[in-house]
Amino acid sequence: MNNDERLWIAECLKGRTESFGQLVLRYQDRLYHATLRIADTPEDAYDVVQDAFLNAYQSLASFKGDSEFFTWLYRIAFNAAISQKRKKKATASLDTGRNGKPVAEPIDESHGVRPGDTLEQGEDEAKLHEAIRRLSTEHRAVLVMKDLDGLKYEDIAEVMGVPIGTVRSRLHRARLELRSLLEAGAETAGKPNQLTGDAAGSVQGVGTTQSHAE
Amino acid sequence: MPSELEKQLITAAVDGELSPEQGQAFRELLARSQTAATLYAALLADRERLRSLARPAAPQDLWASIQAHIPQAIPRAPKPAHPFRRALVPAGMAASFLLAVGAGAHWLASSQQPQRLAKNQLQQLPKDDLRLTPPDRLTPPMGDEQPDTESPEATQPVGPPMPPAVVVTNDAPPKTADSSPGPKPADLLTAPSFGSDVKAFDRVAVKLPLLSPFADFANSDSQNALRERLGLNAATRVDLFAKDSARAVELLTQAGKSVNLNLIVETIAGERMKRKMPSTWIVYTDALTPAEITKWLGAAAEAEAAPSPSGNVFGISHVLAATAHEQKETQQLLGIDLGLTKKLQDPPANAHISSKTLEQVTSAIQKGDPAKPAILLTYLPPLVRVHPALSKDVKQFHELRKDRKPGTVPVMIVVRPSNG
Repeated sequence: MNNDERLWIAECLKGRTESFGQLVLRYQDRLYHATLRIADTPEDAYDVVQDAFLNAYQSLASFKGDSEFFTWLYRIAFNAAISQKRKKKATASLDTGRNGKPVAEPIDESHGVRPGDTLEQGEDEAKLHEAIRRLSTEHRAVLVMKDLDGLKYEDIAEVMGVPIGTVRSRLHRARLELRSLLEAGAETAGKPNQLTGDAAGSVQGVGTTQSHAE
Repeated sequence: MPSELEKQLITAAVDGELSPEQGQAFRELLARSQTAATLYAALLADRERLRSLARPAAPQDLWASIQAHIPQAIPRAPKPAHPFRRALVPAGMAASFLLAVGAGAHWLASSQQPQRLAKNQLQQLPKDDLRLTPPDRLTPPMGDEQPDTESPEATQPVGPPMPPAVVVTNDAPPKTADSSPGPKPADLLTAPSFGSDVKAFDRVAVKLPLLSPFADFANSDSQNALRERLGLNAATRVDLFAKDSARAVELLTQAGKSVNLNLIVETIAGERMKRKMPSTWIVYTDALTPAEITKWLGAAAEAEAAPSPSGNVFGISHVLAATAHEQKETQQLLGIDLGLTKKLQDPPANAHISSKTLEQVTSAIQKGDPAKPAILLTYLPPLVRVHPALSKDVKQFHELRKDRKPGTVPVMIVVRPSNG
């Protein structure tokens, strides 16, 4: 944590809320970008980032400075994203009828309709985004933290609240799943993947199933 | 096709987190396997694609929106803000109670003094010429008594107690001071407040924490006090302040063997212990009796007393009854309702003993004393806690933890770092 952050936090704890604005300004882009890949839509990412900053403000007194401020903030955002997903899942299950069919209007998931599509500049990026979207939340998050944010195993472990070994194994599976998903998008469905050894068919459920035993 | 281990090596290389030995093994793998090299190249390409994803800036109104919400977001004080804060609350209540008792005693003494003076005066007056009006007819009604609206004296305003009034008449039969009803026997605890019509309360129960240097738990007197306190509470919280909290937890872990404690160390907590990171720890168990908990803490105190270059590890300890706060905390940390405020019911004395019970007892005797499950966690602030459903250690604890046995009490031991 650098001196600016220390100063801002100290001033904020004295009641100068404008100092917190400096912290928001410094990290909002980075946090929003990471959250955008974990949450489902830009609107969700917006809510998660806003909640994360407000929660961080409320709990600033309990931040001891043992870790980087961003790591601490990231953890709050990660937890917020997970709980938002749970809430959405619960809402979705309420909207599902007894026969498992949705009773509400089905969501059009075709390309170009989702709000997030406006962010995708090229076809390649859209495919990649779609593949990421189909990963489980834990795998998606771990990939984002490692590759987009360049966090180390140790920092990821701190953010996710899991041991380093779990981070390593999650990253391992996340990379292979992403590869399978990208290959499945490129190759004929049902044809076994040449590199990972997974059947393309088995990849179809990746986005809906949770990770295997750690 | 690369094996699972080889794939792990490849993904770790993509992560850029290989040790020198793994690096060597990885280079050898690439040299001998074309498939491995191709997978590595593909994963590297995926990583680069991820890295090159567009990095959209946060929406322009995000900053303003957060700033707009800041005034409504009231900062939360860290819990606890001060290590002795919890102890000060009951201590303050006790001080207030003692002050009230002292003031009440003073009031009682001062209100009786004028009565004695009046009695003395009465004895000096000619007995035939006076009639004594009982003091309780003139003084305002107290407690639950309803005022006598027909009596003119009863309309007097409620105020401080009056000395017995003397009315001198000629036509009334004489009355001696000795025949007048004395003041109502006042109970210090149930006496109404001064001159008010507030109803008397029945009982005041103040539970003070047991404060003791942890080292004293090696002595039998402190052990008796601790055992007694643990037996009184439906659930107990023990706060231990330690100069080296990681070492303190180690001592507790080792001492747990004395009561056959199976302490499950949550993974993060284990890593923090290994690294000697200053943390706040929490140990929870509901498988021990007060005697066993006392033995456990006593063993830790004895281990601490052994000569050590670093000196004493533990400082003061607070033992207090668990409240709804602890109930909520354990619920958040362990994910279930532990029923801390409910005392375990003893089985009825006339319960029938089934043949199954006999088998269980026989089996238990044959197997010896089963290990008692407990769990050690890092006591993190609520926002950064791992959800208990995601922790395999918590799951394991729940699997081992069965129905509470009679005589056992839930105990939550919090080990906190302190400066001195």
